[in-house]
Amino acid sequence: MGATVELKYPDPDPGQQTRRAQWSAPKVAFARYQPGLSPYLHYWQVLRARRKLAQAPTDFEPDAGRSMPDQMKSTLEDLLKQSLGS
Amino acid sequence: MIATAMLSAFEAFLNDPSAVLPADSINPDPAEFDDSDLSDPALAYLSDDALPCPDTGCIIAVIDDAIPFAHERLRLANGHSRVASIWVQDARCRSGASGSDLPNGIELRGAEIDDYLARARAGQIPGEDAIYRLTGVVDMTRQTTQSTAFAHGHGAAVAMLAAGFPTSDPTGRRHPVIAVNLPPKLTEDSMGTLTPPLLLSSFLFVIHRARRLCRFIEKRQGRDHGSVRLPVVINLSYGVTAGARDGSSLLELFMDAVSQSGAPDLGDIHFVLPTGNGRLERLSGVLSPGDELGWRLPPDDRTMTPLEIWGPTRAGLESELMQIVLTAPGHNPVATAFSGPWQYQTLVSDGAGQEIARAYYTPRLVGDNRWREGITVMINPTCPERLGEPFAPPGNWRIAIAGSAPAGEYEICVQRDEVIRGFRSGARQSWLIDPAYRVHDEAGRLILTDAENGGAPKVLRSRTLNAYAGGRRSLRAGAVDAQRRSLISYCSLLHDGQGGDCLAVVDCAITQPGMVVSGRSSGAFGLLSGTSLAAPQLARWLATQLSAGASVTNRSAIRALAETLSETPGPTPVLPALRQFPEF
Repeated sequence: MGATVELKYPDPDPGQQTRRAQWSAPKVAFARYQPGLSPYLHYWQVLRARRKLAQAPTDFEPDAGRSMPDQMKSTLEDLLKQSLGS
Repeated sequence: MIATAMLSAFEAFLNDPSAVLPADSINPDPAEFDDSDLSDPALAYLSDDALPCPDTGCIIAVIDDAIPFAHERLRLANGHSRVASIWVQDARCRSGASGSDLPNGIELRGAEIDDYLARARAGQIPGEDAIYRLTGVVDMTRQTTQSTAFAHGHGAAVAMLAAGFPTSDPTGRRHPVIAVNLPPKLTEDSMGTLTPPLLLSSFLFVIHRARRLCRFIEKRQGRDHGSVRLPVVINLSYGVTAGARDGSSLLELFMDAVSQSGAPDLGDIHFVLPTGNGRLERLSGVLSPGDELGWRLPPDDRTMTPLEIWGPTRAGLESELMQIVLTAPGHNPVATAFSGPWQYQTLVSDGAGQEIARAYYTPRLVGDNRWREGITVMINPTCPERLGEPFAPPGNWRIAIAGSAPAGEYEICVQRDEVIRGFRSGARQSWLIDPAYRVHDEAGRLILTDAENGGAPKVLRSRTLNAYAGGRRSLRAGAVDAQRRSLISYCSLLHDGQGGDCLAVVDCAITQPGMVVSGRSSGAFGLLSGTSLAAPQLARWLATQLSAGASVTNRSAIRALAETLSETPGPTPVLPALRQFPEF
């Protein structure tokens, strides 16, 4: 069996912390109004990228995920506006 | 324009949909939706002789796999189709026809279906099967599971239970049908990995076409604009086993919001879903900080294995975040180390340094700076799908909530990961292991409730409902057997231990599982089981009640109505058994 990768928290060095915890591409999904997709979609996209069937998803900067709830709310409002109309 | 909605909502997905949709199903240039559906006879939703009365009509919508839209049960005695519109999401896209506003697949409207049915009656084409082939719904040259050709598939059974009426029954005319055929690859993926965008687009489609059908009826009958507002009952006999189950997912939020607000030019909208079939699968449990559970991963699983943990709600995410500990067979325990929302990290790697287990931190805002923390763990397949890919060791894994985590209940749920009947995915279901969980009693009978189990098991039979059905307004249908009218052992339980908001007869008896259901061809039948068959019965019953003038706008009112009409009103009302196949 392979060696275990252990990640430790908290890390006092912000730069170090960024390297240890990757910033996820589920943020891509949320930025594009796809809150329902991740993290399954992210895993799936990474797998497809590894198989050279799709482009690798892009990671985002720290703290980007904190805006996720607002994006989810705007997604819902957008979907309702589109489906129910005025 | 519906295409805009779908494209803007799921742009990235649609840029690379090849995992689910064939390339030739993609519409390269979606058109604006205009009013031609109200004037062009070729785009008509229904024949004038099939239009419902605006006062008693109620649209039944079915979103499923391989719905046989040419089936006799979806026609009237005059030969006209009751299917106003069906969207076949993975069919080869065509130009210059209905559905040109859709991002993929084809749409067939009542007028076109009527034309095919007339040609079949005249002997110009050889029957129903030819209709499916000529429309491209069945295409054996495509590299996909041909579920549309199954003799008695899931969609045929569900659609006929929800909306099928004998041609001799005039009630059928009250219930025009709007349907969506989901792609087979979506059905094959029991985890629902790629389900949300296609389900949401299906909801958008149903609501949009329902509104247009109302406008169409107004136009054909010379009524005022906005005067026809048919209610809509949408059946979705799909589900997954892992999720927050608190109504906080986008799917649940959307269903709740649509049911609550409705559309200004449409009647009430109701969603009906199955309660689920996972009560005894050992997929759900509750842990406290410091608790640990075993997690058995079977060998030869060629799909990933996900598990979700949902913590208590907390104020803000400024202090230490939720932490879990995962232990793979032969490895040391590894704790998560998240520092902010939507991070992921590798938890376990193999000897070559390749990742075999990963975790995502997925908190949700559920109120005024109130968060519900969540972590999703993804384990690689235990049998690599392709040579050279890293794979996880099968056997007994362990998962724990860190002792330092905030006090409260942590719901743990294993995602559904099984082979769907008729599909080949190589999936194998994992499950939780708890020494306090007893499968059988001393007499060898299955233990069906947490109370009967005794002790304090961490793996539960309650809280096992379908994770799409945790919203405040969607209706959950559970299954009982015909002989005793008691919950069937597989029927999942809500948090309060009930089998749903309403129950419907599915299995013949506890010793005789299965229900006789309609097959793909008119007159064909098969035997199926599961709460997927209870949901369409509830949808049908509700549509019938709305058609008869019942004014029920929410879950409790619908349940109360069912209680007054049921011979078995409590503890959960059992709907009258459906007589699908009347005796002559």
